[in-house]
Amino acid sequence: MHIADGILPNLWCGAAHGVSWTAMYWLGRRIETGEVVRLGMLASACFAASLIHFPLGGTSVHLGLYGLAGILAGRRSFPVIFAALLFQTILFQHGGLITLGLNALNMGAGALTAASVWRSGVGREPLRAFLCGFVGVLVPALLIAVEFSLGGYGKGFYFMALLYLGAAALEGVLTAAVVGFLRRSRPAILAPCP
Amino acid sequence: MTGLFERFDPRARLLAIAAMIAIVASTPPGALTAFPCYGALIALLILTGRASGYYLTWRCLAASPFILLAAGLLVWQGRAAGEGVPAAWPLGLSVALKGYAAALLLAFLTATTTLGELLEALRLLKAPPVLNLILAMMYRYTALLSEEYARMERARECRTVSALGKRRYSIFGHQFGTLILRSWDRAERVHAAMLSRGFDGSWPVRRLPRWRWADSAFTISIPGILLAARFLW
Repeated sequence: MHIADGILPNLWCGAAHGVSWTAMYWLGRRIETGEVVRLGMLASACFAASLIHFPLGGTSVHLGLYGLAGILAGRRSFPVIFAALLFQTILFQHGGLITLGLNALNMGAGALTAASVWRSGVGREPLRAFLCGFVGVLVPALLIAVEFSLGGYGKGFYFMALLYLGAAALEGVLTAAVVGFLRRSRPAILAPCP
Repeated sequence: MTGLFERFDPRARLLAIAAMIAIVASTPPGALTAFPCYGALIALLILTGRASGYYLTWRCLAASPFILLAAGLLVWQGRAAGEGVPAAWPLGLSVALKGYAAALLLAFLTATTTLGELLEALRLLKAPPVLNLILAMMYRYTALLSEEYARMERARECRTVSALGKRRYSIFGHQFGTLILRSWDRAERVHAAMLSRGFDGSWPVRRLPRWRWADSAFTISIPGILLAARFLW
């Protein structure tokens, strides 16, 4: 869910822009060119995969892969997500220019939470991968619900967030499958990120 | 053939459109009187560019679900609070109009400015180099990786004689994993090739036309008129 322009107060959007650009500079500093190329390619792969829709309970959902980005890129997933959102905004008008910062913080929070879960080392790896995919979707959905509730839109988006539980579970299953595959075929990719 | 709008520097186009969206978005909820003026100004601006009407309509329609959901929630909440639909509809309508105006302006920008020009504009506006490089990689490789995934999907369909059933998500997961592995390997090759061509961390771009007084006038005047409409009506 990408928040469009003109819906939430400009002041919030401006503040979110400030925070997300600062985070972009902070988390993007001292990255070597080779790593940026890998991050760019990862962003492209995640973006390509997110264009595919899956059937779920009579409707279809597309993947966000924020959890997978958190696993593979660690805290550097934020610049990846910021760039991917800007790319989506420019090419497909998903979201908006003014709300870019807010969208980046919402989705980035999902990826960074997933990165923390992954680094925590708690539980078995498939379960952790599932949780990463799950929180990667649910955290942004809950944040959007809170923002809309505070913005005077009532509690309707909490209901939407509940509907996202199914999508979050699906994303968790797929993330666990991807991580399992990568563990078997190229475990070095899953090495801890900075 | 280019329109008047396309002759301005991409930085001027990006800044003017961003300022216009911010001004429209800052209109107080329920204030509908400024929107006819916004509409006329946006229509005039669109006439100066060479954007396809079909593209603009399609892009606005694509933004509809979220805009209409937010507007509908406002009306529904007003009704639930006992204000009734007549009292709540200006709120919902103003949110919908703001959302569509912003979507239209953004669609107009992307219809008249190539992604390459926008990347150059962002670079010149001192966006972080990491952002520019990631965007440039996405610009170059997203379509390619989408096609690669489509090829993998076709190959799987050709070799799968029965329905995927319960194994569906595991198989899709393996396909994504393969896509990530291939993109990882491609990144290594691309980086080696970039280094061999003397890449030093900055993206080579063609020189932009110099910033002219007309670009400054455009960047200030168009949002300025909209701002006047915002406060006068």
